[in-house]
Amino acid sequence: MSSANNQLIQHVVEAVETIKDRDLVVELCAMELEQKKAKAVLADYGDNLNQKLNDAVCSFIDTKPDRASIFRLIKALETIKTIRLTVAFYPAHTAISQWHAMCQEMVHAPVSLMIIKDKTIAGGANIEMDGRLFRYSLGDEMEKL
Amino acid sequence: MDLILFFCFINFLFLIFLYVRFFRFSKTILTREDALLVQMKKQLERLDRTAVKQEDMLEQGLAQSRKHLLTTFNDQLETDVKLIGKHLDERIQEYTTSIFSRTDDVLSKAVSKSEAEIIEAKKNTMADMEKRVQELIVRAAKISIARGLSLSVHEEMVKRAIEEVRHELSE
Repeated sequence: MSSANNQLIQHVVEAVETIKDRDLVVELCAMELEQKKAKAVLADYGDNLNQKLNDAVCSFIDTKPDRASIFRLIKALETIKTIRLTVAFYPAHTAISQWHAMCQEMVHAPVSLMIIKDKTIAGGANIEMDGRLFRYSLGDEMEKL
Repeated sequence: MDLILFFCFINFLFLIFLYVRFFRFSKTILTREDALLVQMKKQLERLDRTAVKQEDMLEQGLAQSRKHLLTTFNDQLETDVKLIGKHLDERIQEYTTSIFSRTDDVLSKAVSKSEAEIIEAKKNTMADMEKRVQELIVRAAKISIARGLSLSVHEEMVKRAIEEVRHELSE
């Protein structure tokens, strides 16, 4: 039971794409600990949540996790690396999923994206990771000019 | 008896003599008193005239003295006023000259300083304005570009950015 939960926890962690996703899962975990209806709350999010995460969280909740499992999930979520993407627009879910997949492939570990909108970026993105800032935006290129 | 009568007669004669002498003496005294009274009256009149005359003379003298005093006082006053006016003019002239010279110095320094400060401030303001305008132009250009590009292009550019980072990290 415990190993099955570990696998489910891993699925949830991998499905978390953004900071918002992570915060939502932590909130759901807190509700489970208080024995409230976390699944009903999850259903309310509907299309605002990516399908993969929805499925992973539903699977985890369906196993009626004990407190230890929930705490393990929360701890695993806290250890996820965060990558800050500063872009000029609010991206679609599909784009976020693609970027998340690329970022995970890049760091070889689960990551969550923090997406910040700033129109002065103009195009491209400024990517902040592990205290390093990578500037690949049109805005910065224009500043150089 | 005869002797007694004789003595009485002698005494009577003596008394008559004494009476006559007294009468004559009193008459002389009265005459002299009248003369003295007349003389005294005359002297009093003369004294009165002299007093009136001296009073007139004194009044005239006093009037002349007063007039002289007034004239002298007026002259002195006029002289003093002229002197004070002259001194006052000189002091005012000196003071005014001093103030004007000092004011001129201060003003000239202030003007020269102000001109330099104005030029400097103008330069700084112009440079600041130029910088702000440039920043504004760049910001406007960035926002225009951000709005002009389609969502797919934006997404593609972000993908390229992530690839660039991956490439940079792998090196």
